Amino acid sequence: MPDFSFEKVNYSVRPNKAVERRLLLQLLAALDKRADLDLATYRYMGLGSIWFVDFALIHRALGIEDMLSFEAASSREKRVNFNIPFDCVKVKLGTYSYNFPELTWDKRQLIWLDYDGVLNAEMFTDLAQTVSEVPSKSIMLVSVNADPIQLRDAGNDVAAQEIKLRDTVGTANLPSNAAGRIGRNLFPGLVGEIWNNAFVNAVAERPGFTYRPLVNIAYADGVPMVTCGGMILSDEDADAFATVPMEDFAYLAPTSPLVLSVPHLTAREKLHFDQLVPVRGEATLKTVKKKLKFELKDSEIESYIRHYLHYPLYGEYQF
Amino acid sequence: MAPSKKTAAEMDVKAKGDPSKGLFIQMLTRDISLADCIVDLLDNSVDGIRAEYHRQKRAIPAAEAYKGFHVYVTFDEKHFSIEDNCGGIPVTVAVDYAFCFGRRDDDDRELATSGSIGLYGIGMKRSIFKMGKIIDLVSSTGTESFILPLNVEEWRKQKDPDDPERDVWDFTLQEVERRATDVPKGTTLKITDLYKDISGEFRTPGFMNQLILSLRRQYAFIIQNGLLLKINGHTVTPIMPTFRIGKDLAPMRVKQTFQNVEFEVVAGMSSPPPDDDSATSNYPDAEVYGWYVICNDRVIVSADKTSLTTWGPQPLPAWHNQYNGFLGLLRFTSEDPRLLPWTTTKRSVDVSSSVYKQALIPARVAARQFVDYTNHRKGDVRRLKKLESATLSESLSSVAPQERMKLPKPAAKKTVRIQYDAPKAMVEAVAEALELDRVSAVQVGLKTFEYFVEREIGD
Repeated sequence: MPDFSFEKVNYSVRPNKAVERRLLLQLLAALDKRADLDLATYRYMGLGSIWFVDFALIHRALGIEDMLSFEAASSREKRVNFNIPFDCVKVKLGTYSYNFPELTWDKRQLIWLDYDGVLNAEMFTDLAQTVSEVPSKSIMLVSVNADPIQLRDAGNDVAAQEIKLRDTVGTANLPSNAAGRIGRNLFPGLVGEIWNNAFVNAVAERPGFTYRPLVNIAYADGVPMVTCGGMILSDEDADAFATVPMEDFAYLAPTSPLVLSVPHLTAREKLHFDQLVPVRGEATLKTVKKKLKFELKDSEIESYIRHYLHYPLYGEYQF
Repeated sequence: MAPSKKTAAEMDVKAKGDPSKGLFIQMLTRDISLADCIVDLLDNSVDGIRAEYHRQKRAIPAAEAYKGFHVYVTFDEKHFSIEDNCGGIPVTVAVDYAFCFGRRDDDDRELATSGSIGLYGIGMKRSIFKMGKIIDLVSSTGTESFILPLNVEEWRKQKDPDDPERDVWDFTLQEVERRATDVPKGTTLKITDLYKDISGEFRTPGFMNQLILSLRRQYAFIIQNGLLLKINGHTVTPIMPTFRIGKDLAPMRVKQTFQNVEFEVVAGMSSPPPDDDSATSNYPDAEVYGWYVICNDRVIVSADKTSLTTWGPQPLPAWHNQYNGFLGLLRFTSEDPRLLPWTTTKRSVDVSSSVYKQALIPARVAARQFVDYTNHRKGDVRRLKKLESATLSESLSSVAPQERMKLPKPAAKKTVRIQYDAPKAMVEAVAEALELDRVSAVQVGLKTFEYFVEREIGD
């Protein structure tokens, strides 16, 4: 029997992913309140896998009741349905693309296509077709693997890798300096820019609409991932939206991605670290580092200081 | 009833033959895409270089003709600008020709020997009118210079004071200096007050990314020969053709002169053809293969796979995926641009041109050789793949003159074709187990067969 990624990875124990989810929820809740979106009336579409973590969170936090999950692993139909967390979650078998022609666009959408795979051309078709249909004030996010190893099957030659990437993402979306950014450090930034271009280019094909970026986040719990997305607005709504104060969330959508790199901590480590935060007054990363009783990378310390409130604590328990 | 006096007087009426400015501003600009407008302006800059060689009575060198020259293009939602240090527009040319709509008839003698790539004298005006309403042009040849500020709306309304019915088409050159200008050599064109759609395109990253990629091809030979071209600060690097050369493989390269046009046909294998030539297969960068037509260094047709060149319906078959890997150049050079086989838009070939027909004769021979090779290759693919990969990718300068393409000889067919259906989910799972990134059923079939042979049969 083939393996699916959810059979290899337990999606609920990835601290950076968990931080990302909570940041996104914070952002959505703020948008809901300040821009008067009434998110509870939206339809949520996602790729729930058998864990449905995003579905459960979004239902609880935003009150959305119209929820649709797409599941490509048709041979796991029973397992997927068995794990539905709430009665309002419906599952459609087959990929998002496969189901696209059947989808309806009668209400605003909150869409998070959290692909667990590498970049492929279908994702860009999904994006372009979706943004050409959704009503104004819909929100769309995409998460994708940003490990440059995915270009390796084109060989080790950077030019060939760039060609493969261009074939996958399309010329319009590929920055002209892409070849110099195919490496583990720079690739997530490149992927973020590719997705941002994809959103802007796709919305530009829809007269009277604009795209407002909201999220550009990179993180790695083992595999580097990038999440990118924003809101699709009619020109009229865009003018109104421009007056909504969202500056405090601008840090989630920088030009090069916000990097989440909280460390994998044991329970004991987390509790110790918590006693050193928040960092106020004279204290700096350096002073925290001095007081820490174990070694961590500066980037990990910095990320933890910034996101400790969203850091999940995992435990083992038995029924 | 007798006709009234009034009607009789109107028997002889002069119909107006004047063109309308609106036609140029609103209609002709629709025939061309924004990206092509920018290419037209680039062509003007390159023409400036060629015209300068001509003024100095120097022959245009075959290599590095554009060395030391640059063109910088910048744009955003508010402006477009193109700045070069190319020859500039001489004042007399500006007064008599450059701003004329369509080239003047008496311009022909100049044109015949200019080696120019600009032909019809419409490009710059059309590009300006397409983009926006406020124009600032400065040009200097190093000795003479002028500026041309233009407000398109005001120009459109400009009438002859003696006959308010009659449009005045002239542009006014200002600050004209004919002898010793201190304006550095070159031309700078700036357009502001852009039309809304144009501003929208300039704002979209896809526009710039696609423009740069197409210039990497269209301007490949010109950049390779020395021009420094920047778009919004990004240096455009040329994508030059490469050919596989080795013991068993070499391209064809023939050169001829026909009716004062020198042409060269180069054709060969750029990459090994695909193993999987089905319609659903994914062959990297398939869009680069086919024929390229180049006139005076400017690539006017890229990767052609149609009957514009050699592909079908007669006498050769239409393009098929199995020909991916084929690359050919049809390169024409002439001091007189009118003799070159390009269309007025410089984006296609004039198929009725005799020199083009002449060049297609060796081109068809090459295409035929490649078609035959890929047909027979399937039957001997393991051995031929080894020979194909025992080659190096070489640039055009390493291609030696040769009447025929050199290709390995396929052995007589010794294979049979296997075809079967399998459940899609299982094929995907097998592909994953084989670590194939993209699910291509043909690849899965081949790999599983090879796997069995390797484990159970041996060589």
